[in-house]
Amino acid sequence: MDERINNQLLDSVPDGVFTVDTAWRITSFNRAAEQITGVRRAEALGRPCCEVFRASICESACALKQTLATRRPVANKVVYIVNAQGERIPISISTAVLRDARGRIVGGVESFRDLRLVSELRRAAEQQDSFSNIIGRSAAMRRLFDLLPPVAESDSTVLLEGASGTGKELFARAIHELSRRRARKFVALNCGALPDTLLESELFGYKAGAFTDARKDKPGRFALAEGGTLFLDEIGDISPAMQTRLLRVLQERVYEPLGSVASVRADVRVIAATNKSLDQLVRDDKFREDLFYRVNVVRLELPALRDRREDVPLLIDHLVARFNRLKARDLAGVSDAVLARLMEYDFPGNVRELENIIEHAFVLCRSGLIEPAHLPPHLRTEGLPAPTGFPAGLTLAAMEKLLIRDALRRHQGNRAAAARELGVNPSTLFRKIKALGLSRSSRGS
Amino acid sequence: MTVAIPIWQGRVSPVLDAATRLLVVTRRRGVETHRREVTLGPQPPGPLADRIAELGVDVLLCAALSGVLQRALRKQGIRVRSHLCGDVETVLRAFGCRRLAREEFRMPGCWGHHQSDDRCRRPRTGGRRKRAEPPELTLTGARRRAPGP
Repeated sequence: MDERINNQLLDSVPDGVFTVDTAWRITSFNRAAEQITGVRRAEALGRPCCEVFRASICESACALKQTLATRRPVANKVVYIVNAQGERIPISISTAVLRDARGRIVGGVESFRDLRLVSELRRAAEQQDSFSNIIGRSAAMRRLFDLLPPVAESDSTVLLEGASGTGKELFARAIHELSRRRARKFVALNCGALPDTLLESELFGYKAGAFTDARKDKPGRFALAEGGTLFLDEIGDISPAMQTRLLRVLQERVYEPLGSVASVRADVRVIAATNKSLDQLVRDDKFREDLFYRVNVVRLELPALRDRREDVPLLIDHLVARFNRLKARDLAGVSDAVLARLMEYDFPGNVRELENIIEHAFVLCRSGLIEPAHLPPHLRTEGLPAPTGFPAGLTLAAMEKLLIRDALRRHQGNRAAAARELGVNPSTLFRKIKALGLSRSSRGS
Repeated sequence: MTVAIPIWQGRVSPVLDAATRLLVVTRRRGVETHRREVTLGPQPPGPLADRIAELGVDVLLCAALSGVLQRALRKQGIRVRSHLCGDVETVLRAFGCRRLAREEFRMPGCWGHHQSDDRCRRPRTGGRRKRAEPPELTLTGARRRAPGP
């Protein structure tokens, strides 16, 4: 087949293809290869393949070299190349030996596929697992995602209930971003962090001369959020006096800055959040009932991470990708052992705790996969109970002793019943009790 | 001045991001005073740039490198002259004689608009080294004036 037809054939292939001679100089370079590498065919021909292809493995583990040495093809090895624009492009490569008509080896052929399209498809799939930067594909999160657009559209006051670290502020921001108020400000205030007097001036602002050192007017958060959304976190922690003032704003939509005699109208949507049960606080007379009904127009309960464990792998992938981006690193993810440990962990600090765990691992792990040794000490497997419920480091005899003692306790020392449960003959059990030296007291209650 | 160059089989290593050895050459008044080879482990762009900066490198001559690594090196105040290929000693000599612009040192596909980007340019502010650098010298020690603006 003449060279022109050869080139036409190669150019019709969607994957990049090039061939080399035995001195590693490029002898053909198809159109897709030009597009993926950014190197023109005319420039590539005759040059050493590593200077044209620039793959991460050229120096250490060249696939073509391996193929020519072993005579075995390499298939779908994933590496990256640096193209002419300085972009790292993930590709999968396959190599084979080239022989002439007499069967003598005259070089090698390498084909490669741009995996960016695959990555884009994966990213698109990941986007289906998130909503306004909130990650989750569990049923609980999907229900919340479905509720967000109509809730955002409604302009009603929203109460977000959820433990610390469940993403209350993220949800509040998502509601704001989806609402007609998105062009105006989203203002957040943690009510639990401020004493009463400060909270009042922070919320409603003050006029010059309202108190010593109040030399000029200061707008409050309600004024700053005018036309937008005010997010009041830890609303369950505010004092009864502040509850009364807040109730008035929510009822009348007017407030008075400190030291002012004139009322100010507030066009602000309030989203309140708490990590406590407001119902319970009302029952304990710690939260005004009328305020509770004012803020509890639409209530969204955010699930704890332990109640949506199926989201843990997704969140880990998301966090690893984010820290890779932020810290210019390229960790591949977490090992199976780490994933198993995190899947069984209860996360009292919820997603925020998971984020801290991954950040901790990024400090200790230099490359590759995050291993158990990179986890914070309380999550390392050593010293933790084995998954079976036995303490770690037990001998087989000690385990047997524990099992027999527990079975006997459960059956009030009835050896026949315990033997049935353990699946052994009563006489075998009796022999084992004697051999293991189980005392009479340990056999009964 | 300390010049570094990633090496592989006596030539400029094709991809700095994946390079395993770095030749670090110290030159005073155009004459080489010291050279050593450093092993670079596989590491992400940020730590790799930190490692090269720790070696006191002023100028890095290399072949291909990713944009992320190039930015990380610039942040460290290291001048990068990229997309170079050829025999290491020849490239070093050409650098001393300001002949790196010759076609024989160009990587395929990486010249054109990249050239101006890759000129040995000092960071405008906040660079690691602020003292003025003496004019580039030839290997024979003959003083050459830096070209005017």
